[in-house]
Amino acid sequence: MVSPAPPLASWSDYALVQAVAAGDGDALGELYDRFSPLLLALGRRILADAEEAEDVVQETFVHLWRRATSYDPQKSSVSTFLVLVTRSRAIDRLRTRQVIDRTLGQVGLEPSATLDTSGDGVSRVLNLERRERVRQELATLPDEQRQVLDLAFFDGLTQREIAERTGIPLGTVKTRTLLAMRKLRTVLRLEIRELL
Amino acid sequence: MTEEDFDPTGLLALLDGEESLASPPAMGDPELATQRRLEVETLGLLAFGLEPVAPRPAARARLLAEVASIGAPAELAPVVSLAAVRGERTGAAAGLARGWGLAAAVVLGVVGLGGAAWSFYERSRFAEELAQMRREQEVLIATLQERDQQLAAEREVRQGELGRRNQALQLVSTRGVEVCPLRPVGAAATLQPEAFAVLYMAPAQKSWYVKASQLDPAPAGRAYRVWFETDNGPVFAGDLRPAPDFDLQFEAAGFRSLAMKGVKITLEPAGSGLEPTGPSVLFGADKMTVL
Repeated sequence: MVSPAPPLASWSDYALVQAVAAGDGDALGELYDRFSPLLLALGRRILADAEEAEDVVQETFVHLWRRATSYDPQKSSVSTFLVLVTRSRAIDRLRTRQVIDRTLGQVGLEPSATLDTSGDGVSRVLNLERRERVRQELATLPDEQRQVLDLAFFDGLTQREIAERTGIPLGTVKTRTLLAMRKLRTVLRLEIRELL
Repeated sequence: MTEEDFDPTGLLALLDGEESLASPPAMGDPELATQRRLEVETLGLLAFGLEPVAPRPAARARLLAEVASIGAPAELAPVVSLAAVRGERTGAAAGLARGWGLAAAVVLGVVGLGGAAWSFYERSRFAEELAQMRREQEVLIATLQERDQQLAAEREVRQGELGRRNQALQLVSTRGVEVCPLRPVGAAATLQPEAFAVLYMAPAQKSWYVKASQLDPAPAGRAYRVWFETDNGPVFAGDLRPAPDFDLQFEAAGFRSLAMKGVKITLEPAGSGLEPTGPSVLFGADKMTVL
């Protein structure tokens, strides 16, 4: 008697990517279910547009589908890979359409958008725990450090552009960014270790 | 690597492109690669601070439909083992090498034959050109030799002429030379009033010289002849040279001395006898001893 294959929800991220590389559409669906809420949030945060965020997430997973065979787990975790691909594409769009007002409140985000907590996969639980932990640590950052970090990561601004926008000296911007990243790398070391 | 080496700005710029995501630089330093990996993962975690957003079910279906239309990743980028690739390349390379070797031999053979043919053609063409040049050279040499002979003959003639003129000049400039001018007479006085001649008699040199000027050229078949008038009748002295010289020079050998009353030039048929039959053209009356 052959035991049934474990459900995809129990597979590791990397195992799913390997399955995607083999042409498994269900594995891609599982990865989508696992990370699309996070990536949609990132897309909306950067683009301040629900439809564009959905397009960017779509592009990200199509990119994964095409490039799964060349994915290298030694370079980055699957979640970080997806996050940074989504961020890169979203910032490209943002720069293209020259959006000035990037605040969520001005584009009227759908209030019905909520965290998808369906399913009981281990990864989803880990993601929930990871989110809570990161939010807590980000909340502990001084406002001035969180500000430059947000402008750099979510708005795609260079250090010089941040200095120009905020009126803060360039050296101070760099120092604040450095301090923020140093602290996060320290306090999130457990979460980072889980990704390695 | 220290914490001061951490450069999030450079890292963010590095991660702007997808390619840099796939291959962040490790720079050959394992410690640096580890640090970069930590930085990348730290950046990746920032997104986890956002409130997740549930996707629309239609979006998931759209994604799966799109990738189904694209085809499997393996079809896009077939995964083959390195050994297989190397094997294929080795076999293909061997066949290719044999093919290239044969092709190279054929090419070299064709090139060699072509080169030989071209060399033969060039040598033949060069030989033909050389033979043609030699023929032209021979023709040129013959022409130059002929021209040289002509020039030598002409030079000889001119040298003779120059010697004669020098002799005449020496004669007419000799001390004690007697001169007898000749004027137009008869019809010539009307037809050639400007014509004249001079007889130079040089007893010391035992020679004389006649020079006529502004005479019309003698008609065809006729010649101007010089005569000395004596008590015994005219004595033929000789024919004037044709135009433009119109002169006659005499040297002592074989000419007898005589008493001359005058000298005349007549127009006579060429090759006529020793008696004048034609009209007198120029005449000079002077008594002098002709050598």
